[in-house]
Amino acid sequence: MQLALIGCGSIFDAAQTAWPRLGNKCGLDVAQYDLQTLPLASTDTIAADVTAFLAGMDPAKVRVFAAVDYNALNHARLDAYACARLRGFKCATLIHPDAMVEPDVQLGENCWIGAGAIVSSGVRIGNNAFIATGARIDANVQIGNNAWIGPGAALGNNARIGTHSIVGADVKIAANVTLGLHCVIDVPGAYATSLPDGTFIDPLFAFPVHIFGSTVRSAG
Amino acid sequence: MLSRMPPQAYIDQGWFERERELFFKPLWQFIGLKTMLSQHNAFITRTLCGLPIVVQNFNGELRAFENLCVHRQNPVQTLANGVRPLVCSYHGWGYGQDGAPDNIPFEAEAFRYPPEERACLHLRRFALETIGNLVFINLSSNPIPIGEQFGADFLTSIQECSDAFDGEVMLTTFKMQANWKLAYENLRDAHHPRYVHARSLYQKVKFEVNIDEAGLAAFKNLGDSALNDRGTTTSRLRSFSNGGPDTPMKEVLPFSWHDNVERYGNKNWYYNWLAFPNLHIASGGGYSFIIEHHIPVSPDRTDMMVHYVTAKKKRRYAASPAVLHAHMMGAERVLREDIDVMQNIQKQLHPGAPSARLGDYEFANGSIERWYLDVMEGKIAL
Repeated sequence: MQLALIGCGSIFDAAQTAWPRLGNKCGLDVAQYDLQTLPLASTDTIAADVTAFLAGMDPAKVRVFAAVDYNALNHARLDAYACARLRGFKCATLIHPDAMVEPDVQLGENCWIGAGAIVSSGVRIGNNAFIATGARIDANVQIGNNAWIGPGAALGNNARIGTHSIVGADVKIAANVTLGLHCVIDVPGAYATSLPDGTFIDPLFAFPVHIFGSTVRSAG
Repeated sequence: MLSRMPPQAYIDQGWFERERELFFKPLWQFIGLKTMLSQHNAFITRTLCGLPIVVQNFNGELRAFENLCVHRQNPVQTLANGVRPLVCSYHGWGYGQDGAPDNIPFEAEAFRYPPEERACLHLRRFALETIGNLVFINLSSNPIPIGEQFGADFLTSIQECSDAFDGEVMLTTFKMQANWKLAYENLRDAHHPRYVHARSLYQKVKFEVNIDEAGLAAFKNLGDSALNDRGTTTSRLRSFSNGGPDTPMKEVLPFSWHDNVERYGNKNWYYNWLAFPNLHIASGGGYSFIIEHHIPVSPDRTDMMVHYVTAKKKRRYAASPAVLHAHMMGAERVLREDIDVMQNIQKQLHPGAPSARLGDYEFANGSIERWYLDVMEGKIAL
């Protein structure tokens, strides 16, 4: 069996480095897999690159891990993940050996739990969601598909993170707070207020950026 | 040529207040996008000329009012945007589309207004016009027809371009520590991008200085002659707003999302619309649009409200928020470059600062300042 590690950025590097130490916390016994890597220079043509890489591979013998950071609000990673799934490949979820994940946590596929991350009981994480190094996810948190939780971020009990949202490094979300779809918080600090869909809190902008009239609702 | 604008026009509080009364209040001003007001009870609130304004949709009809409840002057709508009936949250007064209260809870028991006083209760209403997807209001009690300010050709042009806007809108505000006039002067200066935006916008669009010799000659022939009849006044005003294809682009990079939108036009051009006094619309290739509204707050403060939209969607696609986000990040860089320059200019201005020396290519700004000063000096009025 092979694991095709495709992507670029911090998680790609971390997964490649940690590969020999990855165990079978998520049912993937790495000892039975050979690692094949496709490092990408950029995500500009990611669908075409993934398609070309997987062209000669047998979906029955290969698992894929699409490892891209939060480029384009996680859509670049979704492109790679969807490309593999549409071609019949199953995607692996990888948990760093130094992460702490309670046994009842529900994890989707193509997820990453980084070194030092703590994922508490009752947490549900959708497909293609990445939890970076040292993040703390408290009990009963729900994280939607294609989300990104940055290094050192913390999500309080029962917090809900919408599909495609980005919680940046060192951002602390209080208990019971909800972030809508396509939200970005990339200014470190504590946030105790829920945000509607399409809200961007970014160091480039003195005031939050909002999207109005969005017609896109995808399952979280 | 020596600019006639005194430094006081950019820094003086008294000048700023006179400017609101003589210049802004008689003019039509952009206030928002119609697509953000598309459903019954949708509203936006803005502050223009120091007045709190609410624009509200009543069963498809847009109305603009002063956003102050006539009972205790509480803002009727408290958010910048939303969907909510026009009801004051302080004592529950509700208002209808004529601006009169259509519901005063406990009116008979608690308020007991005499009929003649009750009949006078209504929100102050302002004139409103929609041109395509653009909503304009006028704060004057006797507004000029909007066609006298912008002209038929320009109105048609901005109607066509704004009809191409998609309904998904990204909105933010940049705070600029500079006078609003520096923004319109900068936008009419085609010579600055090669220096200020050398590593950003100018890489894609090679703006060039093209002098309209006939227009320049006409401007120079104005001399000091009195031009105070109404026809000439509005004719000059209309000449300050223009737009359409501006400069050919080196290339318009194809992105997969382009297939999901109905492109405006078919030219690989940078489009530019300047609606005098303080609205700017631009588009690179007709796939997306930036709508900048420069709202004066004080002599040295301007809120730059920026809307970003793609062209109208042919079909929904999941990555549309990411497309808007990427565009706003790109626009932020260019806007920040402009804002930095304008803030530097503002910081150095003082009552005795020398006037600007305009080159021939800046005759459009010279022409505007001549008209503007005629208004401010009371030589002409709208």
